[in-house]
Amino acid sequence: MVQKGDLKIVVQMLRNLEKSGQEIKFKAPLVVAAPTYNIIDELKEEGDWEVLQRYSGFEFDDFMPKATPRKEYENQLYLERPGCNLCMGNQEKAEKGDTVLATSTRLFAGRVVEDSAEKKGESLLASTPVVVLSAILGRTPSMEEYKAAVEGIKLTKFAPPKKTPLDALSVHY
Amino acid sequence: MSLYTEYLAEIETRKEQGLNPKPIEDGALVSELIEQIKDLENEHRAASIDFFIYNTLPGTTSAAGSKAEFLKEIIVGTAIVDEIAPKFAFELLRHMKGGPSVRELLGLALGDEPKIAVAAADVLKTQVFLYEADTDRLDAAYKAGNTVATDILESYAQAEFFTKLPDIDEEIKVVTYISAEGDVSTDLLSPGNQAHSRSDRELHGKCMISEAAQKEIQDLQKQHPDARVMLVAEKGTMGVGSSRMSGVNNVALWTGKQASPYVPFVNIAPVVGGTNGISPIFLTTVGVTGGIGLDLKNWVKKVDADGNPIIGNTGDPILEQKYSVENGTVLTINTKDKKLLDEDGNELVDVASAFTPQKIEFIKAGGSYAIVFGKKLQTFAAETLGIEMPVVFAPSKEISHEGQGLTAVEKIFNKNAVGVSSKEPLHAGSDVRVKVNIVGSQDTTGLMTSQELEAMAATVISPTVDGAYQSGCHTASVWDIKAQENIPKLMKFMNNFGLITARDPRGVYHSMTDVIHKVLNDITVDDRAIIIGGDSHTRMSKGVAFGADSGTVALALATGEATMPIPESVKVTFQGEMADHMDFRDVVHATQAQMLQKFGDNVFQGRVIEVHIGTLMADQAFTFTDWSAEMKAKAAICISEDHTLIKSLELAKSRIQIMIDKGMENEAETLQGLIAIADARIEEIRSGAVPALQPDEDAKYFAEMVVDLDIINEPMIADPDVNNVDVSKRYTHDTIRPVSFYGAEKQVD
Repeated sequence: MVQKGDLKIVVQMLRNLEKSGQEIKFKAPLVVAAPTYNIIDELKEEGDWEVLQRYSGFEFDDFMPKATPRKEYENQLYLERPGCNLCMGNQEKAEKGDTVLATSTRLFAGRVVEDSAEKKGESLLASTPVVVLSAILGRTPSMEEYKAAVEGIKLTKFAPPKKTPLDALSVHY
Repeated sequence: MSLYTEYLAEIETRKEQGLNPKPIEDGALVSELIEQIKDLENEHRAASIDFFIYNTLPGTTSAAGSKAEFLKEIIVGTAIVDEIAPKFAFELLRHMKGGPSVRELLGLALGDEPKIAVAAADVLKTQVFLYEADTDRLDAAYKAGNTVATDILESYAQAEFFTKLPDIDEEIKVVTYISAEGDVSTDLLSPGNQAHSRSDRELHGKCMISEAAQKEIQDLQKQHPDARVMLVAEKGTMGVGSSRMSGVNNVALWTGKQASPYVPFVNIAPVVGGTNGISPIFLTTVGVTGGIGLDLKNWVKKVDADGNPIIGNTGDPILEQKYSVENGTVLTINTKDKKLLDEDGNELVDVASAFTPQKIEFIKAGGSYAIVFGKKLQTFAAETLGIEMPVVFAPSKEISHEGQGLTAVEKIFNKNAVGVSSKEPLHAGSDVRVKVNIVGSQDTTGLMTSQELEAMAATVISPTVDGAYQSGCHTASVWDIKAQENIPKLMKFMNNFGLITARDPRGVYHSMTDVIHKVLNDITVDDRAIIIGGDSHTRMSKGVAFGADSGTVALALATGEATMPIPESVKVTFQGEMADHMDFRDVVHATQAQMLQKFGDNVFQGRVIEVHIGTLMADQAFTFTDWSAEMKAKAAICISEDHTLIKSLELAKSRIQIMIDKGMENEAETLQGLIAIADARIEEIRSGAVPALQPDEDAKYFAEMVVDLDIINEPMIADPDVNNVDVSKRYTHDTIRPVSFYGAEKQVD
């Protein structure tokens, strides 16, 4: 996860699904790691963290950290410690031969996922909503599915700065 | 002799893994060796002498301390060892390069025995890793009238430690070995999941590329004993990706030469080449090891009669081979004419960029550190003697274009520059020494940074650095034996050195595995700051940040400075509106796609992306600057609006305050200092005294582009394209596709 807004998007998507009455199941594992502990504290205060907890099959425990890397994954939400691990393929990688969709930035051969005997591993990079939706669907979404899923959700928006006025004598009141 | 017995047992275990005895860094073990050497009847005496001479690590390891002390005893006659005469003891001290060895040598040079003093002075004249404690001693002795001190200072002022070194070879014969087709990432040379073994250089060397490749390289070396193996990225760029120094260390281990016969498994002088050049950070590490990096250009775009590239069926320009570098090709590098020649002496390509005056100095001195420290030492000596410093080192290139405005990064470099002679502002291409404000270190490259600091004999952070952070984010997920062994040690070292650390050596505050870039983004409190970090994604959205190898990070920590040419910039602005269903990440990917479409080549590569996203706060803007690593840009800099910048700085302040509340503040009150800087900057902006950093209207850019937000209406996905017929097109980060390309069919695991 690159910034706090991304985590809020995950939560909003889950809330959207709750509202629609659909059962929330994952067809592919979704591993979520916040950037910092501060952000987790803020999400707890804002009531968002417990939504993530509700749907996760694993939550990190600082008092009992993992001693071995995860090699196999269930189709569920994993709430991991802040850090640069699976996202960057540091201590952990996806299962061999997997097709991975991630919000991180590395897709070098063998970095996030290695090849299996039958299939090359590949990690594709995309925005948060695409990654979450793909984990739920077990495949890349169509444009209709994507638009429906992000309906009403505050994505990270950007509006370019307005051009500076040509009149250098404009006065500020 | 329990440590020694354990050491012998470890040697047996390592033999089974095909490894030599581990280089010794523990002073207590060296003390046992010394006892066994002094005991003439000891059964382990011969082996102990061997380990003492050839297998003990220098620098500031405790082993170096014990070794230096015993060598001094031999020199003054307190200890007598037939196998190590005083003359040889001096030679061993000379090879130890700094820290305890310099301390002992200074003691001998400034001592009462004239003959010994002169001999020690002769050795000191070859040394450069002197710190304040050492130069203070020389200064005091000189002022007290000590003639040996005067003699040493005069030698330093003339930079004899450099001028007396042999010139580099005019002709260097190389034999090629293709490490891979396409871009070669440092991951191939030193895999990320082998990070734990980096400090054991011999063991770590075993993971370079593959066992088969290592054997092939050795075969080539046997077949061509008079040539150096050049590792090549055929049709790609060499050394992309992570900044890890272990990448080039491994290359040097297999293809370079031993730095000193008395220092185990530290090699220098690798030769590397890439069809499309060398990645910027990797090129820096090549400089650190006194190596050579060539831009081979052995494949070029085929052009038609008008000079336009001919496009093939795939929509890409057709490449034609100018010359072959297939395995075993013998070539000659002529360092005087700066050309690469084939076996018959025909010129293949001009390689002047690999042999600039500065790069030649690095090669001559066996590495860039010796030059950095040498310059500082020469300056100190000349000032102490009150003489004008003779010009010995290649003068830094200083380029000024009269009447031309400055880009944002040019402004930052001019503001932070140190020791510039030009009175005019400097433009891109100028070499500058700059003050570094913030330094970051993470927990896989941090181990090497601490090794580099030890090799430089540094012990405390430079007082001019505003703040530095050591993170624990790369060992967050799995806290296994290797992490448990290495990380607390690293945190303690860095904390003592003066960095704020994610892990409390005293165990008081809760360890945090916060992602380093988030923290660095939070502690950068000035939009004109220069940040150096030991991770290729050091790309902050305030100031200008450079990912660097652990050596550059170590230099930044120890000297508070960095030296680099001012990079060119590419200006990126935006027009139009983001569609409701689009996320900013899609804009980032689209920027890359639109850039490649507009220019054909990656114009971001090696340059600074000056992105005008002034309305985005630092946290969100980071999504863009982060990706600039994948754009192969040297750095990215956000041009912000005044009120947005103030908000970003306020947020940074609050996060720093949380760090203080958690108990992370150190004795030097670094965090409080950062809050003060933030406050001062906010005031400057509010009052209008110094608004947010903007480039000049008449600044010159390498290229400019306007990203069209209106045409972005689908999520954009970066695909590694693993099955592309053209191997060099895979894993590039340049293949950006809209989600509809996959027709809602691609299975995701």
